Amino acid sequence: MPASDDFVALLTKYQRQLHAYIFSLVWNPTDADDILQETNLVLLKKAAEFDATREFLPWAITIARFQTLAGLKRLQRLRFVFDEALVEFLADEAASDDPVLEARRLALEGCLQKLPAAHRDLLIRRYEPKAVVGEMAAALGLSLKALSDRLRRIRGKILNCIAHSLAQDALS
Amino acid sequence: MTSRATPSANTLPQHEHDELLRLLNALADGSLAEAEEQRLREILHRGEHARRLFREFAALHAGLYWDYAILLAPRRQPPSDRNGRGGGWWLPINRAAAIVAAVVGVATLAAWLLVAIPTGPLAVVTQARFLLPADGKQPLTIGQSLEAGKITLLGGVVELTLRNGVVIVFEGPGELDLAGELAATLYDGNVVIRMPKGMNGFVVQTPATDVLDLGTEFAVSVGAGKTTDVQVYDGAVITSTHRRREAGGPSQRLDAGEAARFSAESNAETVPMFFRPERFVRALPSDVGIPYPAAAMKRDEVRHFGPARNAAITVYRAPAGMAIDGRLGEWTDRPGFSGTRDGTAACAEWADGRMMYDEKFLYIAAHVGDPLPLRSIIDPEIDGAWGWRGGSVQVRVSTDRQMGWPARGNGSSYYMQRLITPSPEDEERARNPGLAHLTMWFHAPTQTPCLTINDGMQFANSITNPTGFVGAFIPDADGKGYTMEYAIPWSLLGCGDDPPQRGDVLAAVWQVIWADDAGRVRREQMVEIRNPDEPLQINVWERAATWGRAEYR
Repeated sequence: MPASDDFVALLTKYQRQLHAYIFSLVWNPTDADDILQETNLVLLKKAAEFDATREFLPWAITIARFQTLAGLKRLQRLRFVFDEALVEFLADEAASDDPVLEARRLALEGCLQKLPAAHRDLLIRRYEPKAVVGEMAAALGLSLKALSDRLRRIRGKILNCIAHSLAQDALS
Repeated sequence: MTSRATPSANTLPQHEHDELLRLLNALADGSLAEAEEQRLREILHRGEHARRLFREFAALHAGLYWDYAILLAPRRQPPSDRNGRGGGWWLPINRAAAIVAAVVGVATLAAWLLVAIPTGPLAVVTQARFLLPADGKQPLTIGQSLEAGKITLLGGVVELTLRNGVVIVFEGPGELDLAGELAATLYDGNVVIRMPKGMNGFVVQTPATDVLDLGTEFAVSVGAGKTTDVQVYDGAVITSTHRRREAGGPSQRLDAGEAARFSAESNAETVPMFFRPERFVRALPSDVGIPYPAAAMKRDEVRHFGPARNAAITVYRAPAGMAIDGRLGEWTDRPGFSGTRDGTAACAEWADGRMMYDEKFLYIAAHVGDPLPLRSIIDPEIDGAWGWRGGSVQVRVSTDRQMGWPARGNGSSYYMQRLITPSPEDEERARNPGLAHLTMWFHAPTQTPCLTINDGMQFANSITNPTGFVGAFIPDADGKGYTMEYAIPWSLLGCGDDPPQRGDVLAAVWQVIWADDAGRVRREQMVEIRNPDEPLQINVWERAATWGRAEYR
């Protein structure tokens, strides 16, 4: 039976959260995209099993977790940082992150606007599809460590900016 | 009572917080050592606070991939509704955002909705050359301001400078829909987009693909069958075909020096192409801009459509032993037509065209006056459909003996421009393979005589340099013209078993096209052998009834 419009709307709405969860386990953009697609297919196949009286995201993340583990095994990329208990923790906690992540995403936009041009340019190069940090360092004439340090500082600034922005919103 | 402070599930000592961030950065950038993995696991098991920081960092890292276009968006300024025309102006930007969203996985449109603030005309015409505007359209002039909307050219090149500094060089014939400072749709023709230093994010949408600029100079061409060619001169672009996007597939990156062809067909694959830097007009010299005075419209009608001075051409029986060498020795006493481009005897652009036939071949010969002869750089391997552009002779012939003369059949543009819906019979006539379009040119870089054949009024089944034809060009000794001679098998025109016979009157029309000094841009044209009963303001390539009489003797 084809998925209903409501189901497709939910699936569309939570793409970002599913991607973020999958990414937190695989840490590779291509693998994350592939596994997200596979997850979407499974979710669509299982649409009839979804109980519309319950929350969508926890159910979807459960399926995403299995798909991610299966995908990592299939891709033979199981140089796995996380054990099973940790994966379960992360899945449970990610399901409750929805409103927090949305607020952080909105704050991220503002924080990126505040970045100095040089930092922004570095991020553009770093997050280009297929960017490789080692090649990027060579192209910039930097050691890998020097580039990693720069990226770490920029990410740190963004995280601080997001935290500050959320705190300001809470006060206002 | 005293109590001893112990780390709870919801707190994380500062040093562990810092250490966790260091480890996560190493994980993100692929430099996490095995021992560090173990340490990361330990910290994450400590409690929810560590895992929340982990999820926040992972969401940031994933989000920068997912929301990559936010990084590319120019710095945001406060929105305004200047000129009270916000709605019509913002919508295309919104659409562009949706395109970008599809290309790089962006769901956030807000940043894109705010990226471009109207502070003057959207674009100014900064250069123009050999412009031929479409029917009924006012010609563009240098210095003219433009707002969002469609620009249609039948020929020539125009350079637009957008208010954010983006330069667009648009080469006709074609149609470009300028949507905003960072978005345009190319339906037909060529564009080169050049971004100001430090800016990126321009999206060109075509019937086959979307092209997102990453700070660069790149060219996009939409040609026959709505295929899209993309060539990157500098920087990089991300491309995503509509087919691939619908299938949820990945986008593709092209870097400087790379080129590819994308098809609008649902089952076609992307094809890598050779990088040909000379293929596109990237800039127009500032001293050759030619304003297009409105008073010249009457003259421009002539430039568009003719006028032809001859309504018929005799197609003579060819003598035995034809030698296709460009010397035209066999053509004595077999006259065709003669004329100059503007009808004056002093005009340096003129043509003397002739036709012959036998059981196996159609023979075409011409002596063309051309101050810039035989310079075409239009590459037959990749741009055969545009072979006319760099200087050429085009002959359109009907081989449909049953239809006779006048020929019938109109191209889709004929109906579209006149807001007419073709009937099924009209569409069938437009597919008549007995209507053939022959484009003959000399490819200067390889010194090769070239031929492209299309059939029907939809220019189907395009084939370039097919086996079996012979062509030859010879430049005039004074450097002001050339002769050309071709033998084209009837079998290539689909009538090998029923070629035209003595006494037949079929349809044919000639176009001679002169190009710029680079052999790339169509400059002027002349039409000959045209049906005088048809109105002048119809392009011969879109209506077969405009073709004159080819009388086989």
